[in-house]
Amino acid sequence: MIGSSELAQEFWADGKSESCPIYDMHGHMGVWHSIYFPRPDAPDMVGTMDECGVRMLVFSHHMALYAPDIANRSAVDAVRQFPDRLRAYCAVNPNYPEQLEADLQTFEEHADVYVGFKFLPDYHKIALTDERYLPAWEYANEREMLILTHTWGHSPFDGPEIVRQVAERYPEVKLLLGHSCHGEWDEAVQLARDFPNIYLELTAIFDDREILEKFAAEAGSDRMLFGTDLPWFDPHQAVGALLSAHISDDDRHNICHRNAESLLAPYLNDGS
Amino acid sequence: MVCVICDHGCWGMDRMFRPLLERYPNVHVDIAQYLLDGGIECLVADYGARRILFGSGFPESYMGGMMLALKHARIPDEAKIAIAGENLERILGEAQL
Repeated sequence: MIGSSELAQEFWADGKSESCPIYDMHGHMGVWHSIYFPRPDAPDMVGTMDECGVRMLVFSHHMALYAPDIANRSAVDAVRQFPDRLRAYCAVNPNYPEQLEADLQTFEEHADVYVGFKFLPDYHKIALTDERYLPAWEYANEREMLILTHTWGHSPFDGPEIVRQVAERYPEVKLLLGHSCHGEWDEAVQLARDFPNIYLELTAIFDDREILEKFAAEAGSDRMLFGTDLPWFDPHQAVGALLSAHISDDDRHNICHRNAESLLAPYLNDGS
Repeated sequence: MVCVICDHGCWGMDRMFRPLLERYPNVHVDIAQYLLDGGIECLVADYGARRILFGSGFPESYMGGMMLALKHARIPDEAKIAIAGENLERILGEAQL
């Protein structure tokens, strides 16, 4: 066993929970150079989701992060293949601003697919404050959409000081800090305290013991979001860590589904 | 000599340790940082459960993360038991001090 709570017993026995569905707010899809993924495609990923009790995955396609003209199409196709299980972030590569312009012109045609945008500044080597992101920031801010951005401690592209600047400029964006400024935990907490539109997303944090407790105590579990980078990481590993952490089942419900359900409500017409 | 590869990181390390598993029959790998979705299943299929040892990463990581991953991996119960403890017991039992 990994704990004595009702949720721990349920996940240990069944691998999933009827009362605590999971919304994974940080996923990907497809191959990645030099990396071995046993289950990189939509049908296999949905199979994993079934086993782990993941009701919904919000993802950006790996290929779209580098060649968005090619692969945002792949994300659209995957969501339309599994409309009850998948939603996507429109991937933005600021090295190709003309592609962002094209995506924005057709954005409303994909209202059944996109919940917002995904930025990957550390990999694109372009800071969140760069003007090439501006059309996406403004589009999302006007519509109170979600932006999931990779963030990492001490990064000149997406570290906490950079995040603070864009959070001040775009107060209507639902700003999801992917990896929660990994390593600069106090700064991540302070951002969540200072900006009501900021959420701490937990991909790659489930293997860092005591950070879940810190975030829940200092930022509040109502500001934390479950994420795995699927197909990178097994959701069961994340759930096992969540059940091992010294937090309450009420916190776990917030992290696994309540916060995400609130954020995604405008995009899930049937309430699924 | 028995060698156990550990602390290999979670960001796609198959390309680093699989060549060692392929070449050296006494090389084993622990799963403390092996977070890859479907990874345990593929390691068992490719090398057998005898080459895999349980690891949690505790105290840096939570004890239950890899416990739940192993509990619900798509492998036979015998393989889970081997990974969870039998393999290490066998290795320690064969050690000559």
